[in-house]
Amino acid sequence: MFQKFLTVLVRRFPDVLLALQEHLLLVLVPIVCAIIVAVPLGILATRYKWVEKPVLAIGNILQTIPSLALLALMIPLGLGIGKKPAMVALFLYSLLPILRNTYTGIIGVPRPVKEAALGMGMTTFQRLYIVELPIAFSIIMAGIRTATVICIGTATLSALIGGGGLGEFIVTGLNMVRDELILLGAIPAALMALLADFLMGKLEDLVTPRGLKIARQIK
Amino acid sequence: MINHLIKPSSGSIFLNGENTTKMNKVQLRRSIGYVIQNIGLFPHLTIAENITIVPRLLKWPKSERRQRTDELLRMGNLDPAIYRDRYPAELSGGQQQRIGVLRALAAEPDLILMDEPFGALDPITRDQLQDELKELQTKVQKTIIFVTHDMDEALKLADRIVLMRSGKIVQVASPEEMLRNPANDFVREFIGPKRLLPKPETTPISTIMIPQPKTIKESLTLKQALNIMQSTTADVLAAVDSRGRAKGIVTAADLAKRNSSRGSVKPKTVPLVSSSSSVKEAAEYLANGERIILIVDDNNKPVGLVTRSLLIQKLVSVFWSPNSAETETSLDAS
Repeated sequence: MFQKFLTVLVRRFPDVLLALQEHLLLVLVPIVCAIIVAVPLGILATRYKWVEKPVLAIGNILQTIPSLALLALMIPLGLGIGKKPAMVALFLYSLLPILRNTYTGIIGVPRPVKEAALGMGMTTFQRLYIVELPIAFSIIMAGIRTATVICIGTATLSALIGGGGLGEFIVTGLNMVRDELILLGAIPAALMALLADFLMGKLEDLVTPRGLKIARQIK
Repeated sequence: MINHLIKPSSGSIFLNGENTTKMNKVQLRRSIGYVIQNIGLFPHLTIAENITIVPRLLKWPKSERRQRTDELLRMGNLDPAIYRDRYPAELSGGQQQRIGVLRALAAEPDLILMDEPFGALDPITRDQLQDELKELQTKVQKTIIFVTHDMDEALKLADRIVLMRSGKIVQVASPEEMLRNPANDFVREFIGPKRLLPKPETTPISTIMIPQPKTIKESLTLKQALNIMQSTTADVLAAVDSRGRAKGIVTAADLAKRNSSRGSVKPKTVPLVSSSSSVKEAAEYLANGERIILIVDDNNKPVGLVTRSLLIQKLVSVFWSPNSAETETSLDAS
């Protein structure tokens, strides 16, 4: 079995690389889009009550839809099959972790700190980039990290609607009952998730301001 | 409300004659120093960055900000070399609030708001910071509006106290004035009976007099008087007639002036003051040149005497004692 896996890996190595590349794109595009959308939405939710409720509700609903169902839903929604609908589904799926962490990160800035920022005469924008975002940054990063890891896993399912990526091997392997093909998709996907988790953990640490790290150590 | 963190429900607030409700809120807040109860330092910024946050918002050049940081830290008795690059979490609560106060001073505002700044600190640190603030105030000479629930704090720090109850001003006065003339029962209760200054108009003289002076019959001879004085170690005696009514006083100094020990005591007449009179009435006699007054009951019998030095001593203890509560108890005891 392991032997079979190695032979298929060597034989189809170029295909694996291509699938990896596809998979990476299948994750990167939705995640980047989700960051662009969810971070500002999360910030807005902390600023305006009327944004807060609907935004968090929609994010929650999207997250409760099973990932496979969400991918399949793209077809009746008129997006058809292929990479594009897969990316849209993954994008929607990644929104909530980022949105929620942005929201809670900023809401969680201690009250006295917020009051001081306001009382010192900071504008809304200054409060955001001088005080709230730096303090909430590591929490937002944690949200992005969670979203990315989930997305790498879920992206394997996108092969079912023709999205390509490492999921292709798994689907084919399942259809042809060939375990080595399943592994050929599953192992690189798992490694990719672990690596992403590790790297982004490092990045999270890197973007945490020193003063906050000291505060956490003391507590 | 002064810096518009809270909107006034009605009315306006004027600052140096300018209506603050019409001013730009951001500019207004930058022009007012602000110290909040829970310190509220920015945890991700260094002490230097925290202190100069308002100058940064006002776009002071970096070199100037750096200079100001060191200047302020020194003013707060904190070594700039040690504290400049530290983070708030590395400081104790008391040190953090010192930074909070310095931050409010940074951009040299004319007005500083302090909202229960020392409320969250332990009593010893609070006391220390109050002393430092008083000292700092003599250096910087700013108007500080200091909100507190602690009457001792108000009395210790304030030049003027505005006592408020459910949003309404009850009394505006200097600490001394408020202690002496509380506007109503609420103020009296808030200050607490222990802190209230005894009022000379209403405090009976009997509370401060030297009670039960040694008496001497006016018909006695000088020699007998001297003997009594020696045996009682009193140098002032109250002279009375055969019915015990006060006739004046006999002092050791007066007796010493007489070159003969013969003859009667010839008491010196002094004002006789009813024991129900106030300290103020009694004080008027002493202020008008009398050295000693006799306090008498309704039957004119001497019940006490007050000397000028005694009165001064009592006044000093009321006004210069570090803790007026102690003074009052000592007044009661005497």
